[in-house]
Amino acid sequence: MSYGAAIEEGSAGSLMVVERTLIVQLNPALTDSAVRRLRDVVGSTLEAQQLRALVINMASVDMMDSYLTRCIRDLAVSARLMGVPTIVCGVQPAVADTLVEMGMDLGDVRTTLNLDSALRLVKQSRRARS
Amino acid sequence: MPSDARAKSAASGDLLEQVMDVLRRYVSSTTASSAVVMARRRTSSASERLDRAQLREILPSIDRSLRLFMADPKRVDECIKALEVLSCSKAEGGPSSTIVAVKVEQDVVRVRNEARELAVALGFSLTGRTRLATAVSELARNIVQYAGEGEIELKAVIPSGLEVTARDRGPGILNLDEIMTGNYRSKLGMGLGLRGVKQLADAFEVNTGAGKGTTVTFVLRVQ
Repeated sequence: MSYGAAIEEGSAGSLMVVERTLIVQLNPALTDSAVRRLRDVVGSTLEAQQLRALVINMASVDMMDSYLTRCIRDLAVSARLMGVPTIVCGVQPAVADTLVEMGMDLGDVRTTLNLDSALRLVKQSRRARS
Repeated sequence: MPSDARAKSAASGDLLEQVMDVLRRYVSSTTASSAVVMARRRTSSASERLDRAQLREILPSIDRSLRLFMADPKRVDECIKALEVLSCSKAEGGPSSTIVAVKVEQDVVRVRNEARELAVALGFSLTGRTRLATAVSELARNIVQYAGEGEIELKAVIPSGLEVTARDRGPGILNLDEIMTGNYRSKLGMGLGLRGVKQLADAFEVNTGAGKGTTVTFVLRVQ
């Protein structure tokens, strides 16, 4: 298991690589520039380390507004374009409720209840392919 | 407390009853009334009705009593903050509103947290707080991105909810109709921000025009 560096002061979260899966743990109180930095770092990490899956854990994020929602979706879609399947997990119930009420969602991005189920899904789909 | 009783206390504007409402969210009914009775005895505010000045006077004493009965000091602070909000309601021209200047993106986080704290004080549920923080975040981001600077005013509407006003002197929103019908996608967001705020809010109003700046007001009831 190797740990990536936290992404700087006022950071958007931390990165961790487990079995060639990049896990992004997002912080609460995200600023826009932290989210932008995160997008850059995630993209280059996926490429540099030849990773096979991306999991974005939203469990500590206490609100998602339209900007953050779009950023997460863009991140997932661009990782998929790179051939890296992406799962978003751990969206809090109140956050999900607010997104629905505002008429937003994550499009066709895969989502799971928590990190455990996300990692299980990664394994399953890997087995299915091999 | 049953909802009809709550409605009654709201309608009659009985401050004492509102104070008890807040306290009962944190301690038992008995503890709540003894804290209030003791505090009033100490400050000799013995008249039948409680006014806001008296409430401000007895707050330190209530604070001390709560600390005896509640294990979590954070919850005590939260409760006292809720009572402070009651003690300076708009009805008496008190400083019931907070104005946060919004200019850089850290301000977006700041005003969001400010709103969340106030919502806790007013008794919003987790879902209510999340909706509020999200709506405030949308408006604050719009100010930073489109107007450069402005302010957000958070005003407690006792006992029913919170009124939020975002003001800026930016370029104004030229395609408001298009945005509100959801046919617009901005480069920066999903084009759904302002419309999303409307969907979340119990009341919503936009005043804008080319060169006039923009004022968005919305109300969220305690939920």
